[in-house]
Amino acid sequence: MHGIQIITLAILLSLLFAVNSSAVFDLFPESIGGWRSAERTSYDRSNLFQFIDGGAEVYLAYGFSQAQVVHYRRDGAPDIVAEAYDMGSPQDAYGVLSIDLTGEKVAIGAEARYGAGLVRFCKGRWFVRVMAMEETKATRDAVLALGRRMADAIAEESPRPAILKLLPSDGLIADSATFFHTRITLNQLYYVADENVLRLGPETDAAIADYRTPKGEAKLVLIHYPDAKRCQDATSAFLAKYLRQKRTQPALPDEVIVRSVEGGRFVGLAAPSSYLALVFEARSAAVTKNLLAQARLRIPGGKADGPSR
Amino acid sequence: MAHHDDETGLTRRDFLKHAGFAAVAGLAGWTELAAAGPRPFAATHPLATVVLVRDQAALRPDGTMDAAVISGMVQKGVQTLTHQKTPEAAWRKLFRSSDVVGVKFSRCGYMRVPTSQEVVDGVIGGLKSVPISAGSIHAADGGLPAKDCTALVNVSSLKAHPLAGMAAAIKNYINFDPKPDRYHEKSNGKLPEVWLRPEVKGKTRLVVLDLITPYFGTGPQIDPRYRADYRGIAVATDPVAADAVALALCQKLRDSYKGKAWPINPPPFFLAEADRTYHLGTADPERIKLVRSGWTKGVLV
Repeated sequence: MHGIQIITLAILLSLLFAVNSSAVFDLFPESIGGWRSAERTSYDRSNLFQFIDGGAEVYLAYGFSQAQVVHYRRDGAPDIVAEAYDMGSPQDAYGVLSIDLTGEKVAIGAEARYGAGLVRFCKGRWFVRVMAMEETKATRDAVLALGRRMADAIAEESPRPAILKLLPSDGLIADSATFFHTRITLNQLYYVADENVLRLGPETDAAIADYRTPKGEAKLVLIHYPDAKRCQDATSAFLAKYLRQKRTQPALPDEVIVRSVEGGRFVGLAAPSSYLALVFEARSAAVTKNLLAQARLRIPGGKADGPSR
Repeated sequence: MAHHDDETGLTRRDFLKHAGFAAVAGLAGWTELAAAGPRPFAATHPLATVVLVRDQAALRPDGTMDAAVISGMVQKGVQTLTHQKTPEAAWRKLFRSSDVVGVKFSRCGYMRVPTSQEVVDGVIGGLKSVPISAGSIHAADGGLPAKDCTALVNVSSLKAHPLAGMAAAIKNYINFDPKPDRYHEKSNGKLPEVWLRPEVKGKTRLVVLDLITPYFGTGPQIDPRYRADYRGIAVATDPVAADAVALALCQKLRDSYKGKAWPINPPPFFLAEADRTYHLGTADPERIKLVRSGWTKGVLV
């Protein structure tokens, strides 16, 4: 590459970065309801831990690229802190929000929850938190107004992660489904294993949800791998290391495996094509099979029944 | 623990099978798990005492902390723990005037769940009553000169933690290591290892848990809904016993909030390891004597 081309490319890249940086700042108004913006700090993947020491991994487990934090101050009133996280995609922005979907639903952005002075919402590739240091009527109004202003500054669409649409609706407990990629998030929601037995990674799309069944609640984990081979590898690893089976060849595409485990619970799995469906915490083999059958029906090309072992 | 060196690492089934959470069984009601497997404890202490002191006046109606009340709770806790007639005698039971004392607290800015300054001040006040000169008391989160200290006081807040499961006394020392992140590997089972660093080992004479407003929710950042109005402190000499009580409380706060079981994830494996592998104290509820004092409403443990 000629020198001039390299320089041109460098200029283009720096302009692109500048646009992105300014886009982050543009989300924050100068003032809201008497509060004025004060300190502004920004973070990227290399230094997010300086802001969220010990917790940055939760964001890094998604496609986080940068964050901007702005403090708002008003004399005689509690401070308000607004944080905007560029999660790289609308799906990942929703993913971070979906780690906890409890709270008061409010009409901000694509999906939002409010509680005790904190509003969390996603829109486009942004996940945003706006929190008052103390909840009062005034701070609640300001937090929600600031959230709306920031959401209005985002023009992007907010498509939901496709895998969420594959979750069976029958028995699904409202607002219990979380979209994620890696075991960091899975273990935060439901500890499975220290090792990455499910072969999760940034390129796997996954969901975990709670289901109400005739015999109590159960959990369904649905994972979409980039290809069937990786799905088979994950299935084999799970059979060997979690279910401790000697026979560890991959489950057949139309096979359903159910095992009883500690505490009178059942674990089951089915691995049609590049999808792996797992059921945990079920109270009976029948409940496990039923939930797996429902999941298989919704997986592209899937069918409910198959041989069991 | 052998599992940490296995190719397979730990799984949820190991946790259930070996009752890694049995530490909280007797306190938090996880009897189902306690009965599931062998007792995972190794500590041989006859009994560890944890004193829980609560005072409704610790928080004023506007939510601010009353420093005098909280200092009084600290003195009361140390006095009860040591069975002394006066707070001064209690502190003298644990420390000498010649001691150089490090007061290790947790700043935890990002979660906004720091050790309350009022609790730290209560500890410093007690140390001064020994008397220990102000110049021989070092209170800090990072940069504490542990090597120069003859004694340490562990003054930590309580919070649910997205990587360790729970952060209280044991995790409070994580930043004595210049590379604290390494303790988050292997299900945090090696977290107690930091207590064996030469500048730290054997120096902790007192643990004070700040339970005024513990955090029991999801991370990575604070959600004010999950901040409990508990108005308590816990005092012990055994950090593992103190953390076992903290874990029980954290679990109870979660269950109470949701009205159903809301297990701490990931499980704080380090707690049983602190007992079984690192012998820092006891996590066995049958060896923990919990002495409650003061306000009883919503005590939970």
